[in-house]
Order: sequence, then structure tokens, then C-alpha cells
Amino acid sequence: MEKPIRFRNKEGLNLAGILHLPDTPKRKVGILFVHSGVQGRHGNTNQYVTYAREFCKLGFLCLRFDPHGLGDSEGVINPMDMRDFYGSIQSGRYVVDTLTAINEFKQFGVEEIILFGLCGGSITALLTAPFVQNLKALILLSIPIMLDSSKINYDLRIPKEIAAIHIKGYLKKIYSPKYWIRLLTLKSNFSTIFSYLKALMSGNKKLSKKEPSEGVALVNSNFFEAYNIIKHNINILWIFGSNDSFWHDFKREFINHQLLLDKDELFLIEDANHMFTLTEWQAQIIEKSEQWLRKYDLARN
Amino acid sequence: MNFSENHFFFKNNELGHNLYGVDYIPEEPTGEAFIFLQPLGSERNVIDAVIINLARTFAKHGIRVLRFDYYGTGDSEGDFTSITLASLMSDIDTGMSLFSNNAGITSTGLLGVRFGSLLASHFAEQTLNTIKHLILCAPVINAFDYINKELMQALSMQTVLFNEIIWDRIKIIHELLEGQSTVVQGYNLANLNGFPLTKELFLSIKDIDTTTHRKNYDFDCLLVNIDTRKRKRNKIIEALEKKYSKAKKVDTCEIIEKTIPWVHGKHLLKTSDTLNKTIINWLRTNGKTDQI
Repeated sequence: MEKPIRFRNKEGLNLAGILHLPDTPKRKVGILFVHSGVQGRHGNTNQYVTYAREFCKLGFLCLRFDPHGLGDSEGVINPMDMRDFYGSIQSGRYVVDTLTAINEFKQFGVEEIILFGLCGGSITALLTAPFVQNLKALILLSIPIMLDSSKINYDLRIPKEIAAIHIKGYLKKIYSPKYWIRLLTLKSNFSTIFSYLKALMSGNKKLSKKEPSEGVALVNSNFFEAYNIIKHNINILWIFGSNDSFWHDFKREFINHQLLLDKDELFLIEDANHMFTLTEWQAQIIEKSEQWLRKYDLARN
Repeated sequence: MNFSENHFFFKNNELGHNLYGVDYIPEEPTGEAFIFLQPLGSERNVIDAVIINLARTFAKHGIRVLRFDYYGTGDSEGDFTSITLASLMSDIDTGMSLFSNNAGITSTGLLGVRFGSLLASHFAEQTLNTIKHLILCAPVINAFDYINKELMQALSMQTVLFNEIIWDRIKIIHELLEGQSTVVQGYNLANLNGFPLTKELFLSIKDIDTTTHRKNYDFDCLLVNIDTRKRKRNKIIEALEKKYSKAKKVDTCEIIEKTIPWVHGKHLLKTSDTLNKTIINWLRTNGKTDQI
């Protein structure tokens, strides 16, 4: 059964959500879907709805909700540069709303919590995790490890692997007359082409963890602060798409520093993009998550 | 003026499925009501807060609004593969009947955004003279052109997956119509930016061009173009202006925003004060689209 709910956040704004109630709940374990970047409780291509319906079949109570200013929840976000909005999420914009949603979820008999998030939702889940009692696990998709801001020079953080994909794409077009017409009539995006070339030639750089300042590409220190608090107590399933630049950031700043713990699992979906747009990739996410939840005896067999 | 919101599921009795809707109920109702018809596919989620803020603005001005998810979209039952034109029309009819059975409502209008405007036009064509206002925002007029454009994403996805375009749009549509599998190397190529396109949906909507017929319409019509810069002419708005030339009244306006609100871009736009004010002003001043 699915049921719309509304509850107030700390600022007195009504937040909207959909509760998925299984016919026969196995245990009082609930999965909370923690928004999806700039999109709320549906996720890109409505994938949160699909996941919640599938997890509900396994006996989980699920709650999808919109934090303030997104979807059906109250609150207005004034127009702004998207990178600054991302940066605010990566700095904890929606942590308090997520804690409010967890409290609300507990009103429906949920005793143990799993947080599930994609992109901005996954960093919100990680940043919220240290404050959650009875947190069982985190399923984190396409998590950003970097900090976004309109003041940052993004050329400094183009992963070499992603630059190579784009340059390969440009080279493939070299025999196309249309390509040359675009180039000669100056319609091609030269700054993008040069950025990729520069990234390809200079390779992956070690990036700063200093305070934000003009032109510096930042690793998000909030990520590590939260992770260091919860890493030994909470099981984490990390999921990425191999065509996502966030995967290359994560590999460079996390995997290559041997930070992935044995108890946790990393699942890389070949060819998938950042938002797992295609249903084929979403099917893999469902299958892997179910398998992983069963491993910890969290899902019904 | 205050208003309340009722978030609820309601049943489409004709087809037997549940739809998610939000009823925006003004404290001091004027008797006017609107059904908001949302875009399809990825555009629905990108622009949702803009539409929701517009619905709240209506309610603040005493106008009741029902905004709902079609079958197979948003929080409503089903998935995208279940949608056909018949299910979409039946869902709109179900939404309309919620208001037509309400004694406090004296007039109903339709407001469509993007593909929702195509559905609004199509519905208004089938059910002449049941609505008082028709408002079309950033309208889509031709379903085939719309699908064709959306399939562009499927082509660029192929270049990422296979390093080349294996099937062009003609081939995708051809295989779909032949009832053949459109899955290549494990991927369904017939998808609208991730939403699977079915033969049933394609066949049921492909011939819709909302500009083709012209009748005497007993409603007032507002055509709203939304763009990032002023343009000399807009062929879509012009075509619709001709189509609705025999409506009681037809007005046009242009909303300039920093970003296209149904496309995920560099700027975040979750509310458009200009859009809200312009439409309310048109409704309140008998056709003036200057902002208040």
C-alpha cells in the first residue's frame, strides 16, 4: 500500500512524502530515500518509485520524501547558480530535513534505518548518518566526493579518463564535413575542447582540501568528517557508473588511498552514466541492493 | 489569502487504477477551478516545483487547483510502459469529474505545460465547451516531433555506449512499429531520455497535431511562451494563435527566464514569479498579460 504523508520540519514547513507499506513486513527495517540532487522523492526517470516498490516487496517499509523547496514540500528556493546549490547540499543543506523524515518514519513503527541516496541524496545520507540512531546501512549511488561552487575552476577537476572519452568522440568526427563546418564557422565549443585536451595531457592532479577560494578545485572535507565517524559501525554499499566523472573522482580521492574497507562493497555498473538513466542500469541496482541486503539478513528471503 | 493542500490518491474508475493528486484548496474560494496537466518524462521532474508554485499562487488568489500524476508517471500506479493516449485522456476526465461533481465550483479551466499542453488542447477538442479557460505554457503541438526530439537523447546515449550510432531514429521507430525488439547489446534503444517508449504509446499519439483543426471555442485562451531571450517570432505560438482565433478570446505572452525550466541546466529555477504574476494578471484583468 502507498500512502501520502506530510510532516513539519524544524522551520515549520510541511514536507511531503510517500510511504510504502509492505503487506507482510519482515522486520521493522525502513529504507528512507534521501532526495536525488535537485529532484525530490521521484529520482531521475522516476527510479526511486521503482526501487521503493521493489524493496517493499522484500518486506521493507519505504519512505520517499521531498526536502524543503523541492517537489511537493513547502519552501521556495530562489533562482541560483546550480553549482552553488549543489555545494549547499554537499555542505549539509538537507541534513536536518532528513533527520526530521527519519523521526516521522519511526512513527510508523520503523526501528532500524537504511538510507538510500543518489548524487546529492547520497552525500546528504552520508552527512546525516552520524546523527542517526539505529542506522543499519547506507546505499550510496554516484556520491560526490568533491565540493561544487560557482567559484571553482572545473577544468582543474576533469578526470583524465573522462577527457579521453570526449577527445575520442571528437576524433571520430574528424572525417565528418559537418564537424569541419562547425569548426571553421567557430560554432564548436573551443573552450570545452581545450579543457579536455588540457586534462588529458596534464593527467589527474592532486586536489586541494583547503577552504574554498577562487579557482581551487576542492575535495569535500564534510564527506571525510562524516565518513570517519561512521565507517566502522555502518555497512556501506557504494554504487557508481563507469561513465560517471564522480566515479573517477571517488577512485582518485578514496579508492586509491586504500580507504575502502573490507566490510563494505563497491559495485561498478559498466557504461552507466551519473544518473543511471536507463532501466537496464536500474535493474542492476535493484538486483545488487537486494543481494546485499540479504547478505546482512535485512531482506526477506 | 491562505489555502490548504490535500495530497491524496483517487481512483480512475474507468480503467481501475489509482492516481496521485494534490488539491490546492483556497480558504476564500472564488468558484473558479483549474486542472493542471504536467509534462511527460524527464521534463515532469525538472519543472515540477515551478508548476507547484504556480498552483499555490492560484490558490492564494482563490482559485482551486488539482494537479495530478497520469497513470504510469510520478507517484501514480503503473510505470511508463503502461501509458497510452486513452489512459491519459481517461485520467484527465477523472480529474475533471472530481471538480464537476463539486457544488462550490462554478467554472473549470485547463492549464497544460509542455506535453501537458498538447494533452490539454486535445482534451478540449474532444470535450468542447466544458472549460472556461485554456492556458498553454511552453506548448508542444506535434506529438511526433516531440518524440523525435526526445529520441535524440537515445542517439547520444548510443555514442557513449557503443562509440557510434548503431540505430538512427528511423530504424528505432521502424523496429518498434514492426513489433521487433528494440534491445541492442542489452539496451532498449527506444527510450525517451530513459523512459521506455512503447509501440502502443507511439501509435496512439503520433498523429496528434493540435494546430490542425479550427472550431468555435467557447473558452478564453492564453498562450505562454517561455524562453531565455526575446525572439522576433515563435512559430508554435503563431500556429496556436491561428487555431484558437475563433475562441472567445486568445492572448499571448512571453516569459523570459535565465534558464529553460524544463531542462536541467546551469541555473536552478524552482519558481518563476514572472510566470505566476503574468497568468494571474491575465485571469484577473480580463486579458492583460502585463505583470502586476
